[in-house]
Amino acid sequence: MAGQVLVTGLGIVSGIGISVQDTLASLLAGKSGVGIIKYLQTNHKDIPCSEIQLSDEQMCRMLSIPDSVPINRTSLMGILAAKNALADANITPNRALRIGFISSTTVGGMEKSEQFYKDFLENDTRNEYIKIHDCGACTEIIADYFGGFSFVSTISTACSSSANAIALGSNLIKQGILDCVVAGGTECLTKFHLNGFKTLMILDRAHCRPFDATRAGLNLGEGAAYLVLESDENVQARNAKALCKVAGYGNACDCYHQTASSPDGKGATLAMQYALDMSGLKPSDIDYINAHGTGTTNNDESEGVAIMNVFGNSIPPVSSTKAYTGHTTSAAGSVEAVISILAMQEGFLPANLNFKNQMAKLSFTPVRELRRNLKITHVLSNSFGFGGNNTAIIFSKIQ
Amino acid sequence: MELSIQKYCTLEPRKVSVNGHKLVEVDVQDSLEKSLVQTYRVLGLNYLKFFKMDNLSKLATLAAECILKDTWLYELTDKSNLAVVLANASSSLVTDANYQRTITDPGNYFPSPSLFVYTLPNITIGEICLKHKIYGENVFFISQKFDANILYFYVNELFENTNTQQCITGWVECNEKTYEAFLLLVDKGTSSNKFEINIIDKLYKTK
Amino acid sequence: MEALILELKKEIIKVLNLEGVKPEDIDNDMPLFGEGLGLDSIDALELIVLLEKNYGIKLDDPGKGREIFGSINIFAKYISENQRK
Repeated sequence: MAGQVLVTGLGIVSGIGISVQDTLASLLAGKSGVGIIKYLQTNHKDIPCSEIQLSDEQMCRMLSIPDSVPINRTSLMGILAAKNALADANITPNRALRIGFISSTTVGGMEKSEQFYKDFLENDTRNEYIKIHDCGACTEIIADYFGGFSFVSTISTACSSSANAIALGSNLIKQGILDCVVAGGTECLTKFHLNGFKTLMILDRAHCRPFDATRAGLNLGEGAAYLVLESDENVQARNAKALCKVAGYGNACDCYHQTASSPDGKGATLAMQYALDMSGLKPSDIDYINAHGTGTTNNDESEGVAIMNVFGNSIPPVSSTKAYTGHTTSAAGSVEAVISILAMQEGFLPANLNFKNQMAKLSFTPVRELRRNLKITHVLSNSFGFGGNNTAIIFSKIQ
Repeated sequence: MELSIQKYCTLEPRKVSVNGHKLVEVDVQDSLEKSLVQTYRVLGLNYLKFFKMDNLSKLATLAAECILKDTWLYELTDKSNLAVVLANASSSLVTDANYQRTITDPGNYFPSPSLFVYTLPNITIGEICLKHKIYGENVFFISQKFDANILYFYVNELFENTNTQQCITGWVECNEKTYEAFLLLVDKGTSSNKFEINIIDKLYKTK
Repeated sequence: MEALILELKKEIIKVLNLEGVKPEDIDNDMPLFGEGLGLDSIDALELIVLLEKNYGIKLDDPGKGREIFGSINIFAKYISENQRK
C-alpha cells in the first residue's frame, strides 16, 4: 500500500447543496441548481445560472465571521467547503502534521472589485477589498481561517484548475513533501465572466443539454469543493477511514485554440491516456466517466471523439453533471471529483440531464436516467480549461 | 534524478539575453506594448497572431522563441514530452482591467471577446504550445514573487512520474509598470548549471 | 458604398489588431476567413460586436456571422441594408 494517495474527506458547496449529503440527495433526485440568477447583481436575469443558495451574510454567520472583516464570496464558499472536507476527514490542520492547502480560482475577489470599482477610483472607503482581490489572497484567506497549513499555493489554469490542484496535492504527497493536502477550488459568479462567456456566444439561454445533438451552450455555475488527500502511512498512523484512492491523473495541452477544443480531441485523448497509464488500468476497467460535458457544440464533440479514441469499443457509461451544478469553471474539477467519488461509493450513475437527441458523430449515448445499485470500482473525471489545458483524474475503490 | 538547465533567457523592456549574454538590443519605447513589438521585430519573428495577443502572451511568445530557437527542439514535430510550467504574480490582471473597461459603462457597454479570451494566465501557455505544437503537461502557478521552490519540485515530479523529457519553466510577469520573463530549458542531459534551487535562484538574481 | 467600404476596412484593421495591413491590401471580394485575410472564430465574434457598436445591428446567431463576413463587399452590403445608426 506504500506510495498511495488516499482520499479521506470530501467537502462541496454548489447550486445543488451546501453539504455532501444535500449534493447526493439532489443527484439522486435529478434536481438541478440551474435557474434564474438571484444573488449576483446583474441585468442578465434571462441567462440561467446555478448559484449557491446562500447570501454572503448568511455564509459569514455560519462561519462566525464578523461583519467588520472584509471578505469576498469566493473565499466564503471556499471556507465552507474546506471546513466540511476537514470535518469529514476528522483532521485539524496543525504544524505538527505536514499539511498543505492547494486551492484554485480564476475570479478571486473580483465579485467585490466589480461592485466597488468606482469607489476604488473615486474614494478610499473600500480599499481593503483591493488587497483581497487576487487569486492568491483568496487562497490565503481560506487557509488562515483554519491556520496550521505549512504549505499554501494557488493554481490558475481556468476550468482545469481544481483538477490540477488535486494532481499537485497528490504529487506533493508522493514526493514525501507533505503528509496531507486539502486540494480543490472555488469560484463565484461575477459579471466579468458572465459577460465574457456571453460575448463568446457559448451560453445557452435555456437549461443546457450536454451531448445532445441540439445543444446550444453552457450554463455557468458557482461552487467550491475540496478533497482531503493523505499518504497511506498517515491514514494508518491515525487510524482514519479512506474513501478511495487517487489512482492516476494526466495533463496535456490540446494545442489548438485559446478557447475552442480540437476536432480530433488530441489533448483530451492524451490526458485520459496518461491517467490510465499512471493508474496501470486498462480502458475496460473504467466503470464511469464524469465528462467535462459543458453543453457547447465544440466541447462535447471534441470530448466525445477523445473518449472514442481512448475507449474504442468498450466505452463505459458517460454523463456530464453540468446540467445539475452549472459549469463551475475553476471549481469544476474538484466539484466533479466529489460527485464522481459519491457515484462510486454509493453505486449510482448520475443522469446526463436533458439529453434527447443522439449526436451523429458519437458511438455512445450518455446515461439517460439515474441508475442505482451498481458496482463501481474505477471512475474517470475530465476537466478541460481554456488555453487547451486538459486534465483527467481516476479515482478507485481501495481493494 | 539529476536534471540540468540547458539554456536560460531573460526579457525585460530594454534587455533580451540568453545564458547571461545580451542577445539583441532593444531601443527605449514609450509603452510596454511598443517594447514588446520592437523586440518582436528585432528578433526577426514572422508570426502575425502575435499582434492579436495581450502583453502577457506577447511576452511569453517572445521568451519561448528565445529559449527554443537554435535548439534541436525547435524543429521537432512531436513535442508531447515537452512540458511547460510557468508562474507569475499578477496573473492576467492588466488584460482583466482592459476587459473590465468594456463593461463598466452601461451607456457604452460592449464586452470584447478578443480581450476576454486573454483574461486567464494559462492562455499564455496555450499560445506558446499553439505556436510550437507542444502537447506536454502544462500548469500555471500564482505566487507573490519568483519562487524557485515550486518550480523545482513540480518539474522534478514531472520528470520522475510522467513521460516528460524536457521542460520549459520559469516566470512570466507583466504588470502596468514593467514586464520580466525568465525561462529555463530543463532536461536530463549534462550542463554547467544543474537544475537545483540555489542555482535557479542565482541565475534569476543575476539575470 | 465606397466610403462605407473604406471605413469598414479601417475599422477591421483597428479592432482586430491587424498589424501592417493597409486598407488597399484587402481586396473587396477576398475571403476574410480561412485563407485570404485569415481571420478566426474570435475575430468573427469581435466583428459581431463591431456591427452592434458602430452600426446598431444586433446579431444573436454566431452562425450567421460566417455568411455576412464572407468578404468586404458582402459585409458592406449587409450593413447598408440593415443599419440602424
